[in-house]
Amino acid sequence: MREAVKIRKYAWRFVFIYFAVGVMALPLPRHEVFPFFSWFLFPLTPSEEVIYGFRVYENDGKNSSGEILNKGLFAFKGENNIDIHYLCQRIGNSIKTENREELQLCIQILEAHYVKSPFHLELVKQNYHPVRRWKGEEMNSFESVWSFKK
Amino acid sequence: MRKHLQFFRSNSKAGISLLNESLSSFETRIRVFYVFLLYYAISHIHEFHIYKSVTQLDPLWPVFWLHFCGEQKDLFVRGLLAFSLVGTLIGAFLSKFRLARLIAFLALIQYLGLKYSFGKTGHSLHLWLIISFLFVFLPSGWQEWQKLSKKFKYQIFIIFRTAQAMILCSYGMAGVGKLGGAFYQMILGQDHAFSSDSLELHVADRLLQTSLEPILGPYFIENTSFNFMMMPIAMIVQLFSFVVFFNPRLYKFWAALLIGTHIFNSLVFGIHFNPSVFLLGLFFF
Repeated sequence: MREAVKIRKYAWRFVFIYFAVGVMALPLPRHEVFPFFSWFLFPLTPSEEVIYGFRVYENDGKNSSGEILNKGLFAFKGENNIDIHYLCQRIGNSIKTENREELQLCIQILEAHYVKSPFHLELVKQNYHPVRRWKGEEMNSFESVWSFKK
Repeated sequence: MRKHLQFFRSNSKAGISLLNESLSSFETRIRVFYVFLLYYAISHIHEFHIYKSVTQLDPLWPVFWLHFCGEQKDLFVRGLLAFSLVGTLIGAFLSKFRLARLIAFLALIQYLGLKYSFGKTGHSLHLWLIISFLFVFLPSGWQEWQKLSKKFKYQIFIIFRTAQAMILCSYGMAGVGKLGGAFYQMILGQDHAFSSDSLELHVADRLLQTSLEPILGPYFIENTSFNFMMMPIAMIVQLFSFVVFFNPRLYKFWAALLIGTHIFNSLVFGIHFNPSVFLLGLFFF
């Protein structure tokens, strides 16, 4: 029986450590140390947000009208995959914080897996109210941050 | 759990009978757990082609070794994908052996490590991974638990209950995150989870990010009459998962509620946590 109590103690420690590490990893760039995770999913309500997006002028030699879209053009993991959105935010944040190492890594991943040359993308910083924007209203502000061409 | 242990500790007939009843149910569930890992690996074969020309990675630590493979990286990635299939097959077929369970865990962590090395980490398989690690510590011969001593029977019992705790705590933490975030945004004077427009803000934000149009997403942006209670309900269901762990009579009901939140997320946000739905059913129904 003593062993059972001992195992139970280890079990509780395991559960506690898992979530404690998850919470402690929140300030890291990825907000986690795989596979430890805080499970803080959708903790903040978005409102007037600043979000980075890609404006696509050309991809795989095909011209585009400069729409801000994830769909289709970034079909590496299937259309509508959220991964490109997170990569885009990482690129924007690395430019903002002048983290060249992170920027270089993200651009290498973007070029290797998400776009095909010749391509021309523009990274834009957008500020919008999600509901109003979804209903077709203009953005509050829109600013070009970077241009990628190859 | 403490009550259970005290009950078993009494060595009464009722205690032993309850332990045996629990283990009988756990045995089937653990077997199914490993069959699911195999199913998951096989059901992702159609995605393998996206890894065929891996040149650049932002590798998670489990696949950091790919950095050192130089120009042979392609070959090693194929080997990793093959290992994910073989490892989970071994796990499903020979789960009574600790080595096989360890191999299944390694196969899963390697596959997920690769899958999430392209800029974003997904979470739908995290709990399966953590529990597959926990199950490595099941005692030898767990499938023939009737023959095991009481100590090993307790070990199986506690490990399974720990897996249940992990699942419920993860939902509890999601509730804590939402509650903490709501208070934080209240202090800053921003929209927060208790605002009447919180749900439509979340939905519109997500749909703009993915260009998706899930079947009920646009409806909840346009029709906002009941939205004010959706986020608080989700928060309460998640938050009280901590408490439910200590009340096994609520397991089925609470798992059904949590599955309900996943169905809602699928229909409204286009976020599909299908493996988590299966996990809830497997461990609590």
